[in-house]
Amino acid sequence: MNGKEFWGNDDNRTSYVVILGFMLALSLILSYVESLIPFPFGVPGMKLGLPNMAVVILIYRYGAKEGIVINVLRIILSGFLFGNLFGIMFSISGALISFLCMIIAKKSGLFDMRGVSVIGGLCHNIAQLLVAAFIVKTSGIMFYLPVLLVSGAVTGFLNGFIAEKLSIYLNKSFIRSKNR
Amino acid sequence: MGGENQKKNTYILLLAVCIIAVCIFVANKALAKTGDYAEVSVDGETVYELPLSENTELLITGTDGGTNKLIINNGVCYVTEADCPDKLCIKQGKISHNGESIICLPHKLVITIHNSSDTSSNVDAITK
Repeated sequence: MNGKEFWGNDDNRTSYVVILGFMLALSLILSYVESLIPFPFGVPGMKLGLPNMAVVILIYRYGAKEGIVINVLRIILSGFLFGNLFGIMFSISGALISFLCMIIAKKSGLFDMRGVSVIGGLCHNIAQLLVAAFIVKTSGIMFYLPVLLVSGAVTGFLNGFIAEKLSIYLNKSFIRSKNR
Repeated sequence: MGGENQKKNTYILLLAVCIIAVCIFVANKALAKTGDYAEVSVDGETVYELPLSENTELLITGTDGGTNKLIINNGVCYVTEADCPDKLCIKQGKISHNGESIICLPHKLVITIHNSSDTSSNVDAITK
């Protein structure tokens, strides 16, 4: 999937703004849905990572610049809406590192959309664990590493899978509305 | 075809992660011994060291004035009450093995189980 054909040819500014706004709204609502779903394991930092779906689609559709803008806006907005300042600082560290790794993974051309998403999920969890270890100044937290690795890989794979399917349908629906 | 290779690489990545995770998990379990005392630290500083052999009930004050209620009962250690928003310390459940820990990030509180016969931990600091 090279991504360049998504949503037809939208080199005009209006559709660029509309689609970025649409993606920001999508990632925000996914953040909200994620905060509604309780994760029944007592492992800190473990979550579904649904908003990563929107980020992966953005990276493939546009690139690093748009991805990071939407990602940071999403974290700040959802942090103030559904969380607190502590949560913002905590999740921004994981998000930035996972974002960087996803960009590198995509540039390397080794993985498809699902693989890039898996890398994102893994790096997010590892980064959050390292931040947590730094805050509480203990290495005992590494006990959670295997659980977080598997959960990051599985949720990342599912998110990437959904993002891949979603981008195909978005592509179709936008082309249809263009031809109307 | 590059797409096929990318697909294959993705599955290899998934498999590799699972194998690594299982290895770390097995290593953790193999090295784990039952501990005999719980170290309670706030913001990196040890405030209590409690033997697991004695049943204890203790209210711990964290960095921002928040409190967690720690219970030691029949050699297992757990948190029953906390005034932090997410209550993750309660959900982390009961711990009794060497190296296991309960962590409350908002209060910067860490409860770690240690084994006094373990040479890597500081035996001198146990108070009984």
